[in-house]
Amino acid sequence: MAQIVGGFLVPHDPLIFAAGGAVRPELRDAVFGAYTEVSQRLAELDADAVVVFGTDHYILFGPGCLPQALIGIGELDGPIDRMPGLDRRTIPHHPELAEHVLRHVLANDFDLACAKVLTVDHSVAIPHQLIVEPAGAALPVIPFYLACGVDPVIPIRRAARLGRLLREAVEAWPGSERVAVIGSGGISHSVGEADMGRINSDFDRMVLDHAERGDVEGLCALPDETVLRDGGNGAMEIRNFVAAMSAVPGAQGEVVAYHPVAEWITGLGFVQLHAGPVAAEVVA
Amino acid sequence: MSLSMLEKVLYDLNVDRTAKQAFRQDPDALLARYRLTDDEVGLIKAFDLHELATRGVNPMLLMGFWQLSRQDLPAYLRRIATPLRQQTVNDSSVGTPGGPDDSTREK
Repeated sequence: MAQIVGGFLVPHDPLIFAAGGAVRPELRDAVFGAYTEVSQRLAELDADAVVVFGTDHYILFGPGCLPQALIGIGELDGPIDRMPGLDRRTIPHHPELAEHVLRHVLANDFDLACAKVLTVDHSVAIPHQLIVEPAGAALPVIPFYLACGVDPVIPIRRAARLGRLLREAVEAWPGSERVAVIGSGGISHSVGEADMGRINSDFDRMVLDHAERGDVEGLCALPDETVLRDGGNGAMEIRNFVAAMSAVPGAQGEVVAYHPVAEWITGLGFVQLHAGPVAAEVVA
Repeated sequence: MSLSMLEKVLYDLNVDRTAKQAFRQDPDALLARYRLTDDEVGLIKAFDLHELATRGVNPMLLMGFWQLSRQDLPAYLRRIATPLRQQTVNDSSVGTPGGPDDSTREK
C-alpha cells in the first residue's frame, strides 16, 4: 500500500529571488538555509513522489476559467513567472499516480479540475527547485492548485476535505510509493494592497501553533474576514496548509524556522508535518 | 461595463505580450476591443489603482499591470493608497504607456 509519510509547510515568496539583496546577508542565508533544512528532511523521508499544494496568482488562470481546485496529471514545467535565480525547467511528474488521485477524488463527489499539461507558477516552482529537486533530481511532483488569491476562493473546509481525499487515494493506490506533501504559502502578507509590507507575527505564531498541534479544525474555524484582517489577503494561503495537514495521517507539526521579513513583505514559516497515529478525526 | 471585464483587460495586460505591445503603442485602440465604458478606459489609461481597487479589481492584477507604467513599488503603494486627484502632479503624470516592461509573466 502506498502511504503519505510526512509533509512540510513552506513559503513561496518570490522576493527571496526578486529582491534578494534587500535583506542583510545573515537573514537571507537563514531563509535559504531553512529551505535546505527542509530539503534534507524530505530526503530522509525517502519519498517516491511529492504532492505540492500551490496557489495561482492570477497568472495561470484568467477570468475565463477559475478552478476552485486543480490537479496536474501530465507533463509539468515552470515557473511561468520566471525570475533571476528561478529559471523555467521541466519538472518530473508521476502521471499514473496523479490520474489515480484525480479519479479517486472525482468518484468521491469532489469536483476537481485537471490540467493534462501544466506550466506551474512560483508557488510550486520554488518548493520544487529549493526543496524537492535537491532531495532527488528525478523525484516527481504532483501539483494541486487551490484558489486562495482570486475570488471566489475555495472554502477552507473544502481544502481540508481534499487533503483527506488525497490521503485516501494514496492509500488506495496498489503501488508501494512513499508520498510526501508540501503546503506552499506565506503566512501573514498583503499582496498588492495598500498595506503591503504589513506582517503580523502574532497571527503567524497562532497559525504555527495550530500546525504544531495538527489542529486542522482550529484553522478551519477562522473566519475569512479574520484571516484577511489579521494576516492580509496572502494569508488566505493557509488553505494549502490545511490541505497538507489533512493529507498527513495524524499530522503533528514541528517548526523548523520562522522569519518575519519586512523587506520580503511576508511571515515566512517552515514546518515539518510528522505522520503519527490517526485519532478520530473531526469531519470538517 | 463590469468588474469582470476590467479584470479581463488587466489579465491580458499581465500575461499577453501582444496586448501589452498594443497598449503601449495605442492604448485607446487596444482598449476599444473590450466592452468598457469611457470611465473605465480612463481609469486604465491613468493607472488609477486606487479607484480600480475600490471597484474590486484583484490587487495581483494591479501589481502586474503597474509594470507597464515603468514606476517602482513605492509609487505603486502611493498610487493604490490615495485617490488619484489627491496625488502630486508629478506622481499622477503616469498615464502614457512607456517602454519595454518585465515580460516574465507572459504565457
